[in-house]
Order: sequence, then C-alpha cells, then structure tokens
Amino acid sequence: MGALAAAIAVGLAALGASIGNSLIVKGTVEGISRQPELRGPLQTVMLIGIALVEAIPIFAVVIAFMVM
Amino acid sequence: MSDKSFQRMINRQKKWMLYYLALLTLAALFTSYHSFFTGLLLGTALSYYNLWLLQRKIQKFTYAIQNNQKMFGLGTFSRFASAGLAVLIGYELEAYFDMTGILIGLATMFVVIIIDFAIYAKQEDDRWKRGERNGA
Repeated sequence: MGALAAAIAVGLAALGASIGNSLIVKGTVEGISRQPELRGPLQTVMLIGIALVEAIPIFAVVIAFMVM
Repeated sequence: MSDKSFQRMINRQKKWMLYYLALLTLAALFTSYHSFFTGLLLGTALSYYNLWLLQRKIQKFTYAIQNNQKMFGLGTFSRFASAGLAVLIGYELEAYFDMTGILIGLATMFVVIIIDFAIYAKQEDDRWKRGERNGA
C-alpha cells in the first residue's frame, strides 16, 4: 500500500507540473517567436515560473520516498 | 530587462546560494548541532545543483528557440532525481544527516529566487526603461 500511495503522490504531482510547465514553455516560445528582443525578460519569467511549479513535485518525490 | 539582466540575476542567485553554503559549512563545523546542519548542507547543496541546472537549461532553451535549433527536455527528471537522492542519503546515513534539515535545505532555491525577484525586479525594470528611452 505504501508503494501505491507513493506512486499516486508522485504521479499526480508530476501531472500537475507537466501541465503547468507546458503552459509556461508555450508562452515563452510564442513570446520569443514574436519578439526575439524580449528574450531576457521572458527567460526571467520562465525561470521563476518553472522553479515555483516544480516545487510541488519535488516535495512530492520526497514525501513518496518517506512513505515507502 | 535584457539578456544581460538575466545573466546578472543568475549570477546573483548563485552568489547568495554560495554565501549560504559557506555559512552552513561553518555552522556544521563549529556548532554542536552537527546532524541538523550537515542535513541542511546536503539539502542546500543539491538545491544549488537544481538551481544551476534550471538556469543552464533555460538559457540553452531560449537560445535554441531564437536560433531555430532543437532541444530535448528541460532537466525536470534530473531535478526530481536529485531530490530523491537527498532523501535516500538521509535515510541511509541517518546518524549524520537530519531529515528535517534536508527538507528545509531543498527548499532554499525557491526562497532565494523569490527574494531576489522581490528585491531586484523593480530596479532591473527601471534600468531597462532608462536604456530603452536612451536608445541603448
């Protein structure tokens, strides 16, 4: 049961993170394609966005290892 | 905000992380809370690796978009794996690394990014607007 709980925790967190990351990357790709000179600010926003989105799955991985 | 400002930002973030790591090393060596501080040191070191990897991958990714090149992945699984590694080390060497310290250490990256952004965002924005007005 512990392994199942760990798998569900990591799986759901990774699903959420993948959707969030895909939205961020989509926005960045579209932005840079339209205005390549805005690469700097878009990179900054992408860094902060991806870091915050990935915080949850990283802790989910930690919790999953603790549950197992 | 230009590409130079992004470079300044990632240098600042790495600098703060290294200062914090140095402080933690001193704390682990010279205080009596060895287990907690070594755990914190381990978590922060892996958090620093995560931050470095994220910055590097994002720079490569945006460069690839601008130059019509291909890029596979943003290193997400490497970052997850490093968090898993921290917990595994914590469990295997329980006597040396405190688990609470490792967890707090892993979150350092997010705190550094948010505080850096809160402090310097307006300053960089003003600098960019001045540069734009002057035609730089």
